Amino acid sequence: MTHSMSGGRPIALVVDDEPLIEMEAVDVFHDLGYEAIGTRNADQAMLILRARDDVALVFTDIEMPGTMNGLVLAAIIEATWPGIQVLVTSGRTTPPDEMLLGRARFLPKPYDARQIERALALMAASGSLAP
Amino acid sequence: MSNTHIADLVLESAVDYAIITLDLHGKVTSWSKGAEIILGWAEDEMLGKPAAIFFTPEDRSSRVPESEMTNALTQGRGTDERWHMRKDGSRFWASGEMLRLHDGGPTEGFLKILRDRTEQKRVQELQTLLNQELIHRLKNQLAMVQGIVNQSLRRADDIEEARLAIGNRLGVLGRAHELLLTGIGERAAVRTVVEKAINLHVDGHASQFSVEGADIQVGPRAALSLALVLHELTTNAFKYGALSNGHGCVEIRWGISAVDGAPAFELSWRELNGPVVSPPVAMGFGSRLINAGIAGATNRVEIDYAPDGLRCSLHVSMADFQSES
Repeated sequence: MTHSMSGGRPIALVVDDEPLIEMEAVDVFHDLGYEAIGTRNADQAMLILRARDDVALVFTDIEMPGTMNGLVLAAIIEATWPGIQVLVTSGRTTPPDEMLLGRARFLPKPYDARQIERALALMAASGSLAP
Repeated sequence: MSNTHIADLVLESAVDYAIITLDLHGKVTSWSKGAEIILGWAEDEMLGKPAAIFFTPEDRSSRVPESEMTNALTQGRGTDERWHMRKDGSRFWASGEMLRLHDGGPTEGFLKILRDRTEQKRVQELQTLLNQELIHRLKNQLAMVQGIVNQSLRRADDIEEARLAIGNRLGVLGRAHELLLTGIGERAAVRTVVEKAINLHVDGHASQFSVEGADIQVGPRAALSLALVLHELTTNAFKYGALSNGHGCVEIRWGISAVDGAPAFELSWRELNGPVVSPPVAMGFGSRLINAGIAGATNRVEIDYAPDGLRCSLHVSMADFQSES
């Protein structure tokens, strides 16, 4: 099952188990020019990733209930869909180990729209953002 | 009392301190009572043995005993906090010094003094862990506040409306937190969360609400979500629903049921005798929040804009509902 991009906007998948944060992240990505889909855990995110082939970016919290946390999700995406960019966020004080992050970038909470923009720009500049 | 006698008394009495002297080659020349108590070896076992014995294997291969002695020679003393070894092979966190032994003249050997500070180190590490956990939770809460503020601003018709909405919602969050701090462990009674969220005991609301439910405990994350959802339902009821015309009322019921064979928390909100309602044209922040339901949980929310009054039901698995993480 595939979907075409809505009006040319790239698709961003937001994963956060706190509805307030997920809602806000969806709106922020919308403001940044994405069509954003909100999900509440990695299992839901995986369902969507398997069903669509047009997800450009995944923005995920680390600590979530379900079968896996955000870091594991990021690793699976890197291995299975290398074209998808991954941004990982969390309220924890120390960023996750470089090795655990892989190609994903880390953005600490609380973040604002500008920080997301900057992180996306950095990823695009390093040449790893999907066209 | 002669100086030697006093010195002997000091060595015998200072049992919390290992007081050890070494010759210039780092071999033990004396071993206090405290050293025996802390490190395990008796004096006759240690005399003539290298001090390196009570350093860890890693420290030995990095030549730490030698560098401590070198520091003592070049700088007069070398302070150190590190793991040391006991006779039985166990490790302890030691805080100590290596000093130059001299009589105003050339160095005659070394004095090593140390205390067992393992307990203090554990307490420090626990404190750090707790602080990190606190900061983590704080940051998550700040992100939630950010969500409330931004969402309220996006969807309000004017700044004043946003200001009031933000103030109310943050107030709900604050009161819910208060409840969690005074609850059992980190949980609170559902009844208390409900009553606080709908402001039952202020403004004469009591007559407009009927609140009934079992004695159930709710975990911290679910409690915050529940409070916010109930607050939105209440606000909507006052603005457009059963509480807007003076003779409507709201019936809140909760209990445990089974969903897919697992126990689930179930709450129902029923508005009666209010004006005729219809579904909203656009999803305001409140509706989105209600539909989102309980954070960190698999849940089901049903909203029915029945003509005789809005009905909303929430189903959350008990495991998620009571989770303390």
